[in-house]
Amino acid sequence: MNKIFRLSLANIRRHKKESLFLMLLIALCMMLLGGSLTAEQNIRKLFPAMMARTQAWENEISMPENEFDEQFLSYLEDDPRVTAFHVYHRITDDYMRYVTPDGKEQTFLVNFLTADEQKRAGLFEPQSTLSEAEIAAMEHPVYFSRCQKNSYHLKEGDPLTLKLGSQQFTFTVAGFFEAPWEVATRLVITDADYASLKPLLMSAAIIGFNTPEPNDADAIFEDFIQNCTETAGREPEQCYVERYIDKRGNFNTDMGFILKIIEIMAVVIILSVIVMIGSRIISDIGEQIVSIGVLEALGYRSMEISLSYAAEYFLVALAGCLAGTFGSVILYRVLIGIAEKLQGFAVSQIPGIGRLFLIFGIILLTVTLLAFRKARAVRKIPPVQAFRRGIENHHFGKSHFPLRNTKQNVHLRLALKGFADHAKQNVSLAIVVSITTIAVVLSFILSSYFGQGLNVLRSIAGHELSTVQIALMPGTDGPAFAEELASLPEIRKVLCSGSTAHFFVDVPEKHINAQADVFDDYSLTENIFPMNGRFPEHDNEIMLTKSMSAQTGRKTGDSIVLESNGVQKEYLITGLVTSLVNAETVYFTTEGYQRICPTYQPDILEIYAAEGVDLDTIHTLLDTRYGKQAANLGSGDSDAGSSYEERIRSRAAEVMSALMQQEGITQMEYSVQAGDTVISGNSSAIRIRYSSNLFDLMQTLMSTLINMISILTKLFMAIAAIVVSLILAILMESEIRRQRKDLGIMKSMGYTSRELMLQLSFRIMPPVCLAVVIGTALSVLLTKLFTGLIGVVSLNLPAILLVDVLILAFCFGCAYFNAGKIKKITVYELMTE
Amino acid sequence: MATVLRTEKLCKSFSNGGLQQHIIKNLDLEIRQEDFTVIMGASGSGKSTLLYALSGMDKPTLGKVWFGDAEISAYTNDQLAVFRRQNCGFVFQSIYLLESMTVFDNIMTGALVAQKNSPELIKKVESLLHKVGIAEEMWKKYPNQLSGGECQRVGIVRAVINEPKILFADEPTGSLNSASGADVLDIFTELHQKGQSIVMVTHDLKTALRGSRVLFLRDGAVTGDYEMPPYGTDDLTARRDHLQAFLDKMGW
Repeated sequence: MNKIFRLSLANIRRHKKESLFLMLLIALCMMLLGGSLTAEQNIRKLFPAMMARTQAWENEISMPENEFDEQFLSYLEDDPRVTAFHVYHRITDDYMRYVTPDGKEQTFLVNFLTADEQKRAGLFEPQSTLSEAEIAAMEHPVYFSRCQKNSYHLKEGDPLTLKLGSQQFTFTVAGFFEAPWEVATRLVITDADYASLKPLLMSAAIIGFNTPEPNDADAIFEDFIQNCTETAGREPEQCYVERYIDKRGNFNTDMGFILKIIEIMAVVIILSVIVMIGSRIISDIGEQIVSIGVLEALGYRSMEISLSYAAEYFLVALAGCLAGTFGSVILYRVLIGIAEKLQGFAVSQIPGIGRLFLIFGIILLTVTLLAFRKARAVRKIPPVQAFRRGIENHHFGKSHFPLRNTKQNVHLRLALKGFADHAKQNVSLAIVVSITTIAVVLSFILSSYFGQGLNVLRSIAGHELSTVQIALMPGTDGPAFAEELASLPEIRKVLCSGSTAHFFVDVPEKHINAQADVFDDYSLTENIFPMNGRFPEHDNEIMLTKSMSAQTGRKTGDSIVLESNGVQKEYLITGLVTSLVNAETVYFTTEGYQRICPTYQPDILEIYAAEGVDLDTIHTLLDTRYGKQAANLGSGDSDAGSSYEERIRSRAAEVMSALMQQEGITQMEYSVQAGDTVISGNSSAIRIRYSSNLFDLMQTLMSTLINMISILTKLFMAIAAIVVSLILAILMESEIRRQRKDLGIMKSMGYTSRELMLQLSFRIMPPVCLAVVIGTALSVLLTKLFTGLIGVVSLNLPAILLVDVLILAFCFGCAYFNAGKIKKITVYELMTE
Repeated sequence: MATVLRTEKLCKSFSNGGLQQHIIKNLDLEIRQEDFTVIMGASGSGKSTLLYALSGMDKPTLGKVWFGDAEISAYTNDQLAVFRRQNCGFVFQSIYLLESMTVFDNIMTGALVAQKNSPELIKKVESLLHKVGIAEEMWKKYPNQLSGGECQRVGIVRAVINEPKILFADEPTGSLNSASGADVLDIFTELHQKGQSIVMVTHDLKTALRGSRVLFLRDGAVTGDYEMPPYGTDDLTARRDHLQAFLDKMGW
């Protein structure tokens, strides 16, 4: 054994630099694979851990308070599939706005609970850096859900200002508490504040329940609603169930992007290393063939020589894996840090040792076995053949690019000649460069995609993100109003729709409840992109989200039966859409949706501002031309009104606003007699119920993720560049060593070092050029793999071509730089060997 | 005859385990045009070191080497390479053909570094190959398919294809059998007769006989300088005796 390791160590000493570079590549693999896979392991545990830690309900049925009846709970009690359940209450509002520290307002989905209600919803263990006395001194303390903390950059003692119509509510952050992750921010407030807000907001009863089989949740919900309908004599409205699997899916989506990218990069590097090792061993055997012959003549068996090669790579891989293990722990910490920042929950700081060892072992074993397999070629070389430098080393074949046909540059010709003489090496190089090109181009595509910053949300939302979305008052003629708005110079386009969680359809066979997005003409939409197929055009056509496709097992071209209010219709799926906002969405045409819901009329307008017109201008324009929105009635009037009548009118507007929003009242009139005066009014002039901006909310929730991915993809471009340069360094190092004599001879003939460096660099360019073309084509195809995750990625072909040129220049530069070793070859030293 | 190469206080030393070994010591020497200069001496006397210093293959430690009016000892490595391609030809003991190239390409590699490809160049290569006895069917063969003598003849064609001002040869027959060695020496003699300046290192008396001037080197200094009439113009036995006597005197 000793002699085998002695031979290996001698070989490593002889190729110090190459061994070091190879070790670095293996370390990089170990780091990426070890870091990402151990992080993934713990991140995947994050959701169950969060559910266990917060003791939150796995499934929750949401019912408007006025629909809920305590006796409904008995249906769950009687259901054998339900292991536990409880009801808690919360107040919520879709129109609440968060006022940022710099005074800007943004959509803020919020659920208010009291401490007691939160205890019914799960655990409530507030954490705060403030003392009890400090908290007690606060007028309106609020405990903020920890998982949303990073999105709003809040800390204890900070004010939290929220607005609802004309009213502003200012709380003080008393601390944080762990609550399960949800899109809406959960806030725990005092009983007194809850009582004050309750009349203004929508109250809901939430029935939390657990079931051993998560897939039963839909069926349980359906049975529950059916029982409620029988009891109440009508189907309760606006009820929905949020299942454990939906929550888990939404929770894991963000980190899924990042981990997927890292794992792909690690695989790319490992493939490059494997190809490199194979090619290097073969060239090493060719180079050392005489020494192999001598060893065989001395009595070494071919197995021992093969083992010494395997041992050499084992030692290099061992060193690489050890170094990579440290790197993987660092990467693990970085990824866990990202996960914690994104999800707002602490993750175990210790990577899974078992998985780390497994990856360590797999890399070590793969490299060693590969080396051994390749090194077994030695057994085919008897000593005599080895002494003669191996019959395969002799050139008998066709001479490629004969110099007598040289037209212009002899260096280019010699480079081509060298290229043609090294077919095997070219294939390895082409494979390695193709793989790394994929890494670079893919990183570039993703980097430029996510580099658009938050604009990327527009591509991946799966829903229209217009400048402002307005909900119309019942009775308002949507298409006519849209036409009127579109004629204004400040407005570029208006689309009629009926979306945003107000329309639902069911997939009866799978018990899936989905949101319906409805547009007349999808070709006019700007943020809905089919990842395959096309937009629905006829009344029997729909598109599904990718998630819906996976859940229903239906693809483009398949048919699916949908149900709404007992009406079932069959539709043809024309395409699939990636939707970040709501994974369960069905896209209908207006006529298509009217098939299943005949009373449907568009009640949402998507308004797109003209170039250079901002959101505030549109708001002012709408207020000026169409008066206050129902949601904002009375806004800013209470204090401004100077006369008694104005104050009465303002107060009446506020009451109308609250009733229209909370009770769904569509038309109101009022009359107030004050002395001899009758002050009257009605809501008939109000055309806009409320306006909202989905993009605003997404910006808040997604900015961290988008920025992280943008940084990571740039990092991977750098890693891919390091891999390419290390591989080219190894290649040049071994090439120069192998051709040292030839290079010396050429120097003696008068070739300068620079000319020889150019020749060597040009020699690698044909396979590199081919590899870049193949790599780019493959990476463009691979981009489609990401489409399912991040939507339709737009490709900037000129920019990709520029990247290709840069890759070529980089490869040439690396090769030229590493070929600089030629300068150290002196003719004299060679001649006197 | 004009001086083609000149050295001034040429020194060359090597570091060996921290110790400086002085191979060439303050050497002043002139190589004349159209001379066939043979450098002789015992092993380790500095013959090859001197040859490589003179040819710009290596740089002196101290002193100067002049090629005409140009001080080549002050050149950079790349300048020396250009100097070699324009002015020098080399024939080595180990031949040093490029194994991955055919006979023809080996010669073209040397030719095209100094001149552009042309039908005249191709004709010249073909003619030289014929002249040294390399038949056309061998032109597409690789060095490992030729005998040592054939390889060396190809090496000579490669060395002279650019019509160098001076041809350097380091023990050109050292690795050949006597018949092949004689063939190679005949080529050198013919080249010299046509006016080619040659500097050759050898420790073989028969090879040295081909020269017109013999320099004897001992411990890095020229201790003897012996002139001979051109080869073939005098009695060979007498020529050998005289040279032998000179070498005996030098203590060879």
